[in-house]
Amino acid sequence: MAQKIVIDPVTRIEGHAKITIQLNDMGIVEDAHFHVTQLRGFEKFCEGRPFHEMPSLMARICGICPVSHLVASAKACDALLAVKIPTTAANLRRILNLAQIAQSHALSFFYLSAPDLLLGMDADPAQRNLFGIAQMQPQLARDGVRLRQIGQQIIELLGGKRIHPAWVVPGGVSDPLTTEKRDLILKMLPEGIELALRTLAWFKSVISNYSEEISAFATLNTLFMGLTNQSNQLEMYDGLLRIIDANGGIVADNLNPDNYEDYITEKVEPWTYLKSPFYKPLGYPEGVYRVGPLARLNLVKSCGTPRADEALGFFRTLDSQSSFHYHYARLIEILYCFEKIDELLHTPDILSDRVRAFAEPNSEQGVGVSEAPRGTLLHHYQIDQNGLIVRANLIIATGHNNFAMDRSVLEVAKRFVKGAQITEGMLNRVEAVIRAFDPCLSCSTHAVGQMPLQIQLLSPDGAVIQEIKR
Amino acid sequence: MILIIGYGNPLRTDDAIGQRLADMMEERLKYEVVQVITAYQLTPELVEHIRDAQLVIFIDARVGQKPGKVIWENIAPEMDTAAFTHHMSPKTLLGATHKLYGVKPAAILISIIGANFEYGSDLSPELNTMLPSIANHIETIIQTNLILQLI
Repeated sequence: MAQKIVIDPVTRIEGHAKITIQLNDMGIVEDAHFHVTQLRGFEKFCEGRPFHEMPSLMARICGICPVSHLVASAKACDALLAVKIPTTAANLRRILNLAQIAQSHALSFFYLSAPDLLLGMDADPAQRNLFGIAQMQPQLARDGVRLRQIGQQIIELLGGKRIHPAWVVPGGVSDPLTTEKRDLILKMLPEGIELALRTLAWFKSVISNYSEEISAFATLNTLFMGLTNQSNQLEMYDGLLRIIDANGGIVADNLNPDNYEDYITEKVEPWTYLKSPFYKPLGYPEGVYRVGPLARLNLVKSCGTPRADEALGFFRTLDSQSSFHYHYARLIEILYCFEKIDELLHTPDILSDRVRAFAEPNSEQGVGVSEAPRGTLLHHYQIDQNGLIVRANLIIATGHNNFAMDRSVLEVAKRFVKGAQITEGMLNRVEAVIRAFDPCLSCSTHAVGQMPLQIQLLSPDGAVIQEIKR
Repeated sequence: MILIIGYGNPLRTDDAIGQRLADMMEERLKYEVVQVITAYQLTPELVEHIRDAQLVIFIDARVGQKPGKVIWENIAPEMDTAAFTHHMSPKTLLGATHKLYGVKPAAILISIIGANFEYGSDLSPELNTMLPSIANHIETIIQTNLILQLI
């Protein structure tokens, strides 16, 4: 008898989603999908708003990655003003963005995925949380909390508050950096670097325990996309887009983000509210790509900071296709962020008080692109003669990965879900591949609170054959 | 160190009362030992602050029958095994602090019953009217507990 398994909601991700797995008469997985179950309305309800409100408005999309939206939105507004912002302002925005990436990666690795990685995919779900980690390896839990806090403290020092800082504005930033704040941030960085290195060493020592998951998460071959700079290094704030194929060959390079509509378009699928962007010249689904830490490290020659580049050496020995390695890539990027912040804080003009360009709107359209923790983030605004928004298009990082997540669910379900008696561990692996991408669906759902997992095994007539709850 | 954590969503009418009162306490209690934090919700990172505190005072809104009523209780660490990511209860936060750092600061939870939790950046008329007296009441609770801690 054909059966359908529903995992609703998916746990330990940012936002609400569900997974359905369709079994055939033999109990073999026939199909599976990742559904984003709520509709985001930001593109619509910002219409009619003055463009200068957009950074603050867009930051409200998400409580996890407000800084990312703030930065991309402010860049789109810079384009509307048609100004080149002061170098110091760009570097200060860079620092803020790097701190955001570091704290978000720490949340993803330590709070959401480490319970699986430390305790095992088959561990008691009641233990698969920060308490479980604290029980088994308290130092790891303490490091996770502290790493996230360092990133948040840097954001708070620069932006005035940890969540929804209003410091980034069209044309630059509202206030220059003070010597006192610079020194406070500089003082925190060595600890951040030390904790990132310690976590990398630990994860490197246990990564071979997950060889089955690593191979199961690697059956999907896609393109990768991300920003890079002229030195062929990691670039989180500016630069041009590069797309590579599964073998590392360059498919397209030096793509100007302003013209994204020439080469990126979005596919709508009936099972989800989240659209699937793809590289237009290759069509759908051949043009589907992944973004985020794995993509970024796959498409650059180096990170550009010494310790992160050292860690990159081991990363290069791993299977670059396996989405499992998002985790290791994330840790390298935490290290990179702290090293890069240190470098930027030592630039000669970082305390300059020239941090904002003032202008009236000089362009009807503006595109802002930056790298968010989960990948390339794109904001595109059109305004009328009064500076009011007439159209907004946002392609969020998680959206770029939508197709890859959907197909990964199927591949992993095929590998691990077998027979009529479904175990919690089997289904946790299906969820774990989603967690590897660290999707931030809060951009659409604003979900908070606990997300109990309910899995039902249904007969074709809808009768519940088996149910697992946690 | 005495740590006051006022939390809630300032865009949900009376859910803002925790943050509002924490800010008021910061103005009133000008002691060097008092540290005030405001937050939308309780997150695991707060353990880094709680670990250094002798007394932690949580201030939050709650639903109930008598808007403006203040309820306070001593609370102890709790090991909540439910999955959590970036949202915790005061007891769970104390439990995590104990688990990670081996310390158990004294803690009280002060709850204020709200009248309205719909969208809005102002307190409800009921709570707004009662705010001065609520603040006085809470200051008394905190001062009493401060004295108990110090003797």
